[in-house]
Amino acid sequence: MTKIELRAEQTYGEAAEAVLGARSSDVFAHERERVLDPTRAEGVHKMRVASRRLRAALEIFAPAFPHKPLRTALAEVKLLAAALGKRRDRDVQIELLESLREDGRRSERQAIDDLLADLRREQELANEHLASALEHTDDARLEKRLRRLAR
Amino acid sequence: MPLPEAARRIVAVRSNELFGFVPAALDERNAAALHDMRIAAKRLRYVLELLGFVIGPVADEAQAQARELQTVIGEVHDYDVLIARLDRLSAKSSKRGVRRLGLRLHGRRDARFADFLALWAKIEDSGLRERLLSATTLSPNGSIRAHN
Repeated sequence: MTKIELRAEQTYGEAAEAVLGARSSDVFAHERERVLDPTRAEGVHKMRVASRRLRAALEIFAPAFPHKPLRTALAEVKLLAAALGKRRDRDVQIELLESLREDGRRSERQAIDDLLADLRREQELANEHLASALEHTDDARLEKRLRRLAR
Repeated sequence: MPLPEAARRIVAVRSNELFGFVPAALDERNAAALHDMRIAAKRLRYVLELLGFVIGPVADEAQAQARELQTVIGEVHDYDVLIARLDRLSAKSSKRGVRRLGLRLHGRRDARFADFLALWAKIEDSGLRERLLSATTLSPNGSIRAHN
């Protein structure tokens, strides 16, 4: 996460520009391959957290930006965050079930395996959905539009 | 608008949002309120990360408590999601296995919920809400209190 040092002498608008610039860079700094690799939960987790911070920044400083471009960008950031969240939620549940399986009794393991099989299918679908969301983000030039907003 | 003034307003709104989920979120059966409270904790934390310097030392404390809340409520939520999944699990799993796993998940969920209640009691006892409110309030002549 990029460190942002705001100062009391700044105006709300100046702070808005500084924060938006940094938070956008944090989201788009993540390598797609890592994010879309289901065996590496960390990539999607970090990008998701960055997307949430970006969303929060857009909401906190909303009055400082032109209304229409902000509204459109915020809606796209929300869609991206939702796609990241869908994948991340499956990752978390899989991890939790795997830890429960380790010290589970034999009869429980069957139920855990059935849940895991469902979750792995869902994880795959969520990953496909995330790949589309990332592509859409590129096609819509979201990064560039956010940079323009931050100027 | 000067940043300190805007920051105080935003922190006040987000703080009230978080504390507004009590008492609803303390009801063990009200999973929706608890989930919304987690989102409110996260929102307050993100605001304080950026603007907390304006309200002084109470911001660091509030940020740490919001992070703890987010973690413990998140764990309760993870068990809620798995319990709901288990309830929907088809008959292909043995009933005994499903029942045993269900008991384990409920046990862990209850333990994490108890942790949440203990954390919230600690937050209330510390007077954090009142101190946050005081740090975000304008002085009687309309000027902003100096914490910077």
